[in-house]
Amino acid sequence: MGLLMDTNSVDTMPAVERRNFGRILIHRYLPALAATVCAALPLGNGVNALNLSALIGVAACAWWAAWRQQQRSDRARSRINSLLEVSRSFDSMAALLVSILPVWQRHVQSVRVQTETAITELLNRFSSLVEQFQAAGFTGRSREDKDNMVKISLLTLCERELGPVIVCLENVVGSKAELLENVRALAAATSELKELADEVRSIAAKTNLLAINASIEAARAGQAGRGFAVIADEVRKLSMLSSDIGARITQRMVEVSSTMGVTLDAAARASDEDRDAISAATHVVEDVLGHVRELARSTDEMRAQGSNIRTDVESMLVSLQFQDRTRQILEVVEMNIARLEQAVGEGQLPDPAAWMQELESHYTMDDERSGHGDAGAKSESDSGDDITFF
Amino acid sequence: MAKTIMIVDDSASFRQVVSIALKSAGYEVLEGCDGKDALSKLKGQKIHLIVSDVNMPNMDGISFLTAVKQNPAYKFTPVIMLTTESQEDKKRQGQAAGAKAWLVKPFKPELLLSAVQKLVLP
Repeated sequence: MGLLMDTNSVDTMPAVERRNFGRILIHRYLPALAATVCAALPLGNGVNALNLSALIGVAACAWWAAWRQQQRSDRARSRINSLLEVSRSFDSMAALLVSILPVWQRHVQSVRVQTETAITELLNRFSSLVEQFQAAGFTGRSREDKDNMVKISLLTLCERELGPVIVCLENVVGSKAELLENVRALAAATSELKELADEVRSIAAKTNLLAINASIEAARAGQAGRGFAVIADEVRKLSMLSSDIGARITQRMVEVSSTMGVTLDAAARASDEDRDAISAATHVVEDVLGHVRELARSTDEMRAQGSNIRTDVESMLVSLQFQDRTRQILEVVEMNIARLEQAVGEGQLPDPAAWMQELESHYTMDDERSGHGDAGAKSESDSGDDITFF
Repeated sequence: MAKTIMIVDDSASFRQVVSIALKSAGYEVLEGCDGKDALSKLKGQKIHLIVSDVNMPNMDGISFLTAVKQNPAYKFTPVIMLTTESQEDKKRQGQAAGAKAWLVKPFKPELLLSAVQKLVLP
């Protein structure tokens, strides 16, 4: 049948089209020209109204048929172009997300690890504090003297304040896990986007070939009409496939966009929970220090115990600083997600390398720079003994 | 009389942590949430030392430090930069602007206190 069954890629399609362009043009307009010439032959015997109207009628029909064929071909080309445009836009988005998502993931993972390490340390110190208080002899509930007032206050601290603080700190860890899960969901949605882009490209290539074949077969309708049946069948299949893929693309885009929104919300919530937990924990630390001052005025044994408690508190002050680091990491990730969301909304996708460079320019910590590269994020924050005097 | 230290940081929780560490050693504390806010609070205050972050909104720590050093009243007030930035070029910027020390977060309270004791003017 002479169908072009070549499955060339999109890049080579214009070359195929160019090779066949002259052939298509001849096949499409030659019959119209021949019909016009045939209809003009009777004019050699003299021009009369009948001959002239027959010529006009035949020529009009032949040229109208050729023009319709041209229109169909233009429509097919326009559809191919729009498919290719979609495919290119998907390719850009997939390339960008493939570069950026692992970086977001490493940053969030780093935040999660730092948070967990700090929270574990805080919880250990809190439980150590309770033990220290007990060892200092604060177990009574009597209100007989001033010392016992201190005991009651400490018990209140341990029983009423530490409980909610611990719940807060556990929520902080939970919110980081949720954030990480959202970034992972984005990565999954992106990998399917990439597959969809490949499918769109493949459909565009097939549709283009079919359009060329249809043009050729249209010209040979008399001698090889069977070719049309094959082409019509293929076109139907492609049409079904492309409408199915269109629906999947729309669904996936909605999912990507909504997951980005959810990720942003989760990041904001994680920051809020960090702030609340730290505020609660700091409040407890301040209370504890107040009691330590009371202890300093007590007996030698209690003073010694107070010194142990102070050591615990100093360690807690180091752990409490995790929020400042994780906040900065999350702020950069949040800003980047929001920027990408806006770029996707406006259909303006930048070059992945430029995007990554811009992201890197916002880093302030070694943790972030490490998370940006392939080496992966550090599992723990830097130790706090780096001081330089000028 | 207790010495007064100004803490400049955009994180309220971090200011609280630094404040606890300094107050536990007997210092009085004044807080600013960024360079601009700190400059407005400095006016007329007797400050013995400033502990400032680098990356802050409105006015960053280096610009704040430069502005402080241009004010004759605070020209000799020692400034410790307390930041997550650990890159040498940033440290050089801080030194050029007049910082006396550069401490990287997270800090150990005893390290901050020893630097404060060393730098606070009598």
